[in-house]
Amino acid sequence: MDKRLQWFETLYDTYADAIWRHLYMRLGERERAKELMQEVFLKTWQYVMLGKTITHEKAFLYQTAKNLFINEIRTNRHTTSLDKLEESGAQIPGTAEATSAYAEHTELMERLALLKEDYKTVLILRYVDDLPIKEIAELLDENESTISMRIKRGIEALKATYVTGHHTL
Amino acid sequence: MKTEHEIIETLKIGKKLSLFPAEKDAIKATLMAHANESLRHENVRVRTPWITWLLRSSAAFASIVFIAAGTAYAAQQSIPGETLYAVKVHLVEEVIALTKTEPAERTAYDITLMETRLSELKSLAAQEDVATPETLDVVAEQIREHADDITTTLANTDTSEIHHEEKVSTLERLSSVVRAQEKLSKHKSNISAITEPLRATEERVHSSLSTSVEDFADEQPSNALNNYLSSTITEVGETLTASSTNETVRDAAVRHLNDANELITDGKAKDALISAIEAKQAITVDAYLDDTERTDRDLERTRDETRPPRDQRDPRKNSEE
Repeated sequence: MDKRLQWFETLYDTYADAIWRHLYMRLGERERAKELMQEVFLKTWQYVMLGKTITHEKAFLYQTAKNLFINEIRTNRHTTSLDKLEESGAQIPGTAEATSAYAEHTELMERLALLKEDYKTVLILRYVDDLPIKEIAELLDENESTISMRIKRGIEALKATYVTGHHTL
Repeated sequence: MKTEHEIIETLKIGKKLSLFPAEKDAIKATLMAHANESLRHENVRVRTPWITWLLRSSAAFASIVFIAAGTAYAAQQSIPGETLYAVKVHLVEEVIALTKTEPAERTAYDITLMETRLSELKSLAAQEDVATPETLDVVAEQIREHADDITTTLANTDTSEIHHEEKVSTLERLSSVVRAQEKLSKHKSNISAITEPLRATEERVHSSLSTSVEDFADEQPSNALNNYLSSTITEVGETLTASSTNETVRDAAVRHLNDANELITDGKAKDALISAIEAKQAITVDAYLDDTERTDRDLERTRDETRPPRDQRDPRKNSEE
């Protein structure tokens, strides 16, 4: 097998779930997140086929996902509503105990949808994608202190949704 | 009331989300099939008799490839007026352009070429000598061609391939680069001869941008334009808050933003978008030129440090001062 093909297969096996999860949590649409995830890997393959080298694979994938997400919301193909979230909610495969986890996940998605995009992005990158603040700052082209502040405010905003039922910050 | 720790633990629930194995495998199969197909095309070679002859002389062929690769690499560092510059623009860049088959890829590449032309102008401007008219003509012509390529491609590409928002965004970026080039040439006397051609190019680009905004307003539902307008204004506001833009630029951006807000109140979303784009461009052009001003300050500091003390200077020069 061509080495590039082997590398690409390993890359997909390693990061497919993470990239899909990131896109799903930002878009709130499962199927569209799958399509965009596929596009992320397609673009990565095309980049490599041009003879270019990717030194930081994870950063490259997240950067590509970010660009596709921005394109998605700018072209207004993406609309969110709580009804849509309920319709397209991800299912957590597994045992019966997944039922309560599913309910928790649905509530999480609903609350995240209430936040400003900036807060939602950094909270997902930090606590779902497990990226350190330095990498988030590089990805979003911001400085680390801005990101730290945004995370702090995002947590406060998310907390506020439990008190008032809507975003107050 | 939830604590911060509980909020964070709630967020971490998201980590449990994953695709079903069947879904993941299906996408993988599609991607691997595509990858295999592209590799298969890569391995197909069309041989003509003279290539076959050349391949037989493998040592000669390897040398030519090595020299060409080295030349191409060296050419990429060249600036207008240097020997390899023609190789850079007419060979290296054109070969890379051929690999960009999709309109969106091609316009993105042309934008990077415009930014390369700006870097080259900065290098020319930083030199003490006046760039020759021939050198500046070459650069002006390249800029005109790139700009025309972009505007023509966007005008001829259906919105199913490149959406209105992308067209407007690309033209706005193109306009910013050309404005930065024009502003640089006005500021630097040794390249000022290029100002007029750049002004003409900028006018054409601006006209394309206005047309693109008109098409956007006419063809899309109003909420699409409003969303784009809103995101542009938000972006400008956030940039002004976060970055250290100089006062003149900041004032200009704020003025355009205020115009945009008034036009929104009057229900003129299309005109408001033009104003919002002007605000964004004020900041972008400044950012493009920021390196140049920093370089000027460094050069000025270096001149001061190497200038001999007053009592050691040539008295003839002193009298001129």
